[in-house]
Amino acid sequence: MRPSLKLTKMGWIALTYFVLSLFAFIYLSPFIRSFVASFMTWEQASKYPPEWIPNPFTLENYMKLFRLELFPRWIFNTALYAGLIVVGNIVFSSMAGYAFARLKFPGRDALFSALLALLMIPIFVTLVPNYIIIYRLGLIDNIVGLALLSLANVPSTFLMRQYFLSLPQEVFDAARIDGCGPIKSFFYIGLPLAKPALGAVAVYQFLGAWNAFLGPLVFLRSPENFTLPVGLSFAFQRSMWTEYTPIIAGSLVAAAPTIVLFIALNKYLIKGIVVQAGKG
Amino acid sequence: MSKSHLFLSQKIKSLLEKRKSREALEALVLISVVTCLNMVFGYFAAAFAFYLSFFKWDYIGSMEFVGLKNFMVIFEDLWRGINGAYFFQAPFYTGLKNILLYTAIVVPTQTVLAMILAAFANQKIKGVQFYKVSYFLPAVTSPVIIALIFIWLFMKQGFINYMLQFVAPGFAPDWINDKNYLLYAIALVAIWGTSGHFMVSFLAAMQSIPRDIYEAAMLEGAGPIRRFIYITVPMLKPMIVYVVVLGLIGALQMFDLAWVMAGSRGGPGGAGYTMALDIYNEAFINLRPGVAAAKSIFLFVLIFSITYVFQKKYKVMAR
Amino acid sequence: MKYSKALEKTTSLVIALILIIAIIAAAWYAMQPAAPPTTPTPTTVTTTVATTVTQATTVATTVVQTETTTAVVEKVYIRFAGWSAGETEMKNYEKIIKMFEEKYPNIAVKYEVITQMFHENILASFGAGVAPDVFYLDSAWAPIFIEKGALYPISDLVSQDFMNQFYDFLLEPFKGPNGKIYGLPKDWSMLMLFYNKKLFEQAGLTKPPDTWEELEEYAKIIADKTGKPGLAIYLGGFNRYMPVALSYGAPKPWFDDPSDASWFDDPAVKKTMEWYINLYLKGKIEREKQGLTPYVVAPQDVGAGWLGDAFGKQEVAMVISGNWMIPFLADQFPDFKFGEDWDIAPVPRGPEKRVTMAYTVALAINAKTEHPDAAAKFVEFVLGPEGQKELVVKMGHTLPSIKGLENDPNMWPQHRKSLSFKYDLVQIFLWGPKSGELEGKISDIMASAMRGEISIDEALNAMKQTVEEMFSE
Repeated sequence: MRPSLKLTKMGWIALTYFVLSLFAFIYLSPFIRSFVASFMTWEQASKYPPEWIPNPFTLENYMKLFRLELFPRWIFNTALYAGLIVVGNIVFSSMAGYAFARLKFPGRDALFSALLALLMIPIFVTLVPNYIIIYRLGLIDNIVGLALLSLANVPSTFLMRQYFLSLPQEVFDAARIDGCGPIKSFFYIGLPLAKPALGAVAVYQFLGAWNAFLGPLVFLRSPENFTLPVGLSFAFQRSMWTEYTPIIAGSLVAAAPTIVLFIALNKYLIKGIVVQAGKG
Repeated sequence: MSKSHLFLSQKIKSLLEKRKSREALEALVLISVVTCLNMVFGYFAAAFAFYLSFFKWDYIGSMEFVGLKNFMVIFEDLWRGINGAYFFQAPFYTGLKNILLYTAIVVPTQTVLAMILAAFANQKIKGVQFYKVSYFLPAVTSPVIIALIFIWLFMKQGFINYMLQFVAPGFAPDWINDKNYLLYAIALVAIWGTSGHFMVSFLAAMQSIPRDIYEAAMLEGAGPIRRFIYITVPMLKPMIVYVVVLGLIGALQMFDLAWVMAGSRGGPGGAGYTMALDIYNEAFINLRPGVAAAKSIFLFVLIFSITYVFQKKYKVMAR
Repeated sequence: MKYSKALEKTTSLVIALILIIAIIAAAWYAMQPAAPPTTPTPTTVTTTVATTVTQATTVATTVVQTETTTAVVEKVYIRFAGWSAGETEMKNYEKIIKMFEEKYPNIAVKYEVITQMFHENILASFGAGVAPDVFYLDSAWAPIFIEKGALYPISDLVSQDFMNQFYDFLLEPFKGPNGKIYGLPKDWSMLMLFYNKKLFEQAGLTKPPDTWEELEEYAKIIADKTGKPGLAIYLGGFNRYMPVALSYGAPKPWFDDPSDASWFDDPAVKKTMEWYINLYLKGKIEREKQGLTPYVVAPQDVGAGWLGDAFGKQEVAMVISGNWMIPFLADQFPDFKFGEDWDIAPVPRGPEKRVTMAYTVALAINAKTEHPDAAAKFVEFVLGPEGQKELVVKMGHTLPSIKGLENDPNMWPQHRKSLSFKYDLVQIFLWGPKSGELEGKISDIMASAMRGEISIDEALNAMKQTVEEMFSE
C-alpha cells in the first residue's frame, strides 16, 4: 500500500471515531443523567441548577421497586406479552411481507395500501370500538388476549415487504426455475435470507411490547395482570403527583432486557459488508 | 396462424394461468393471518369511527344523527385560524400548523441521521458495538420517561443550555416555557429518540447490498463518502421508503411527547398543541367523540395524501 | 404437485369466505346487546347448595322431614373500578373488600384498577355498554353523568341516617334535578395557604397574610428581603382564581347557557380577574424588566414541576394548594418539617367573605347494574366510619367525607389543622355540565393574558365568547 493511501485511511478512521464518539455522547448523556439521578432523592434530583453527585447516595429508589410485591409478576407478564408478540410477528409478518413483495395476486397493492392506511387512524377514536370487540371476545384483563391485538402488526409486515423488495430478483427467479412453489421458496430461500430483517422486527416488536402503555392500560384491569410500564405508573402515581425517581430507576431496570436482546440479535443485524479494504 | 401453433400458445397460456392462480392462492395463505387479525381489530374500528363522525354522542346517551355538522366544526376552526384568531379560538388550526412544521423538521432529520449512524455503525472497527448500543438506547426507553427526563434537561439553567454555552455563547432559551422554542425542543427529543430506532432498519437493509459492488467501486477509486452516496443510498431505497412513511405517520400523529412536555392544552401560546392532542381533547374532555372522529378523518386524509405523494414520487411502492 | 382448477377455485373461495365470516363475526360480537354468557366477569354465578331442611333453623323441629330440597343461593359479583394511589392503597382496598365479603358471603367484589386516564376509560366502557357496577366519579364529571341517566340514585338505596353522616356541601355536586343523590363522596381536599416559616422570619414577617392585599404585599416584602419569590401561582388555573372572585362578592359560577357568559361582566369578577392576571404581569414580568427579584412566579420559573415541588424545594415562600401537598411534602422532602419549617393558614379573605375551593370524588353506582342493592351495601361499607378510617384517615392523602372523624387519633395533624379553618363558603370544583372543557379553555385564556400576549379586556371578551359558543348548540 502506498503511504498516502494509508494516511487517508488513518484519517478516515480517526474521523469515524470522532463522529461516533460525538454522537455517542449526545445519545448517552440523558441516560447518564438519569442513572445518576436514580441514586438521588427527588429533593436533590430536581435541584435547580442540576447536581451531578448523589448526596446523600441512596438506593431507596431501587429498594422501592423491589419492595413491590407484584414487581416480579409484572416482569413475567411483560416478558410473556413481549414474547408472544415477537414470535407472532416474526412468523406472520414475514409470510405476509414476502407475499406482498414477491408474489403476484389480484388486489395485492390495494390490500397492502389498505393495511398501511390502518396506521393513519388516531388511537383515540378507535379506542371505544376496540374496547367493544375485546370485551365481547372476553379478552379484557387477559395478557394473551391483549397480545392477540398486535400479533401481526402492520409496521412489521411493511418492514419485511420492503426488505424482500430490496433483495435481488435473480435469487427468487432461480428458485422459480427449479420448480419451487411460492410457499416452498419462501421457506427455503426467503426466510434464510431475511435474518437481518427478522432481527430488526424482533427488536422493534420487543421494544414496542415492552414499553406499551395505552393498550395494557385500557385492556388490563387487575394489578396482578399489569405489565411493567402500567405497573410502575400504578405504584408511583399519587392522586395529584408522581414519584419520579423510582419510575426513572424502574425504567432503567426495565431497559436492561431490551439492551441484552439488541446485543444478542446484533450478529443478525450486522455481519456482511466490510467497507474497509484492510480486513477484507 | 397454423392450427398447431394456436394449440401450443393456448397450452402455454393455460399453464401460465395455472401457475398464476396457484401463486395467488399460496399468497392468500401467506397473508391470511395478518389480514384477518387486522380486519377484526383494525377495519371494524375504522368503520365505526367513520360512522361516528356523522353523529353527536357523549358515550352515555344515544347517538343523534347530525349530518356534516361535525365537519363544519373543523372548517369554522380553520377559517378562524386563517384569519388570525388566537390559538384558543382555533385549536385545530393551531394543531395543524404546528404538526406540519414539526413533521417538516423531524422526518428528514431523523431519516438522514439514522442512515448516517447506520453507515458508521456498519463498519468493522473496534468498539463499534458500544457505539451501536449507545445510539440504540434512546429507542429502548418509553417516550413518556424520555420526555420527563428532557423537561429537566431543557430547563433554563439545565444541562442542554449548559452544553450550548460552549457552542453558542449567550444562546440560552427557556425551551419549555418559551412559545418560540417549545416545538423545536419537542422535535429535538423526537429526533433523538427515533433516529436510533430507524438505524436498526437501515443496518438490516445494508446487509442485502452485495459486497462485490463495493469492491468494484473501490477498485474504481471511489472514496467512502462517494460509495455511500452512489451505492448505499440507492440500494437502500425500499428501506428509505419504509422509514420515511412510518416517520410521517408517527410524526403527524405525535401525541405522547407533546402530552408530557407541553401538557394536554399545548403549553405556552399553544405552541406545543398538536392535532392528536386536539382529537384527544375532543374525544375525552369536550365529550364530542363525533367531532373527534371527524377530525381524525381529516388527519387520516392528510397523512394518506402526504405519504401517497411521497410514494408516488419515489415510485418504489409499485416497483 | 398438481392442482385441479376446481380445487383451486374452491380453496380461494373458502379463504375469501373465512375472511368475510371473520368480519361479520367481529361485527356481530360487537353489536350484540350487553353481557353475553361469554363475558369473563360474569354478573351472576349461581351456586347450587344442597341443604337438608332438617338442619335449617327456619323449619319446625318437631317434624322430621326426610326429603332434601335444593335451595339456590345466589352469589352476585359486582365490579368496582377506581384509580389507585399505589400498592399501599390497593392493599387497604383489598383488605376492606375481604372484610366486606366476609360480612356478606353472597357478594363478591372484583376490584379493577385503572391507573391513568380514568375518566377516559370509564367513558369508553360506557360507550361499550360494559361499565363497572361501582366506580369513582369526580365532581366535575357528575352533572353530565346524572343528566344522561348513567347513574343509579344512591339516595334510594341507602338510609337517610347514613346520608346524614356526610358534609352537606360535598353532596351538592351529586344532587340531581329531582333532589336525589347520585354519588356519595369518598374523600375530599381543599385549598389552603402553605407558607415557609423560615423565609417569613428572614423577611421579618410574624404571621401569614390574612387578606388578598396582604398576600401580594407580603410576597413583595419576601422577595425584597430574601431574594426568593414570595408567591407561586399557576399560569391560568380558573379554579385557583375562583376563591378570589367569590370572596369579593362575585355570584356563584354556573355555566350551562349562553347567557351565563354575563358572569364575566360582574364588577367583582372584572376587578378580581384584573388583579389576578396582574399578579403575574406585575410580580414577574415587570419586576424582571426592572432587574428586581420577581415576587410572583409560576412553578416552571423556578425549575419546579408544580406548586408543591416549588414549595418543597423552598424556592418560594407561599403557595395556595390542597391537602394532596401534605403527603407529598412528607414523602419527598422529609427534612422540611411541618410546624418548624412550614405551616398552613386559611386561604386569604376578601372584603365580602373567606372562600376556599374543595375537590371531591364520589363512589357512584351504574344505572344499569343488575345488583343495585349489593352495590349499595358495598358503597356503605367503604364509605362508613370503619372504611374511611382505614382508607382515608390512616392513608393521610385526603380528608374523610363524613363528619366525626376530625379528632381520630390517626388523623395527620396537618390535615386536622386544615379542617379547623373557618370559611364563609366552600366552593366545589364544578362549573356546570362542561366543567372540564370550560376549566381548560378559560385557563388557556388566563395564561395568555398573564404572559402579556393579550390584554385583560381581550381576555375577558374571549372568556365570554367561549362560554357563549360552548352552550349555543
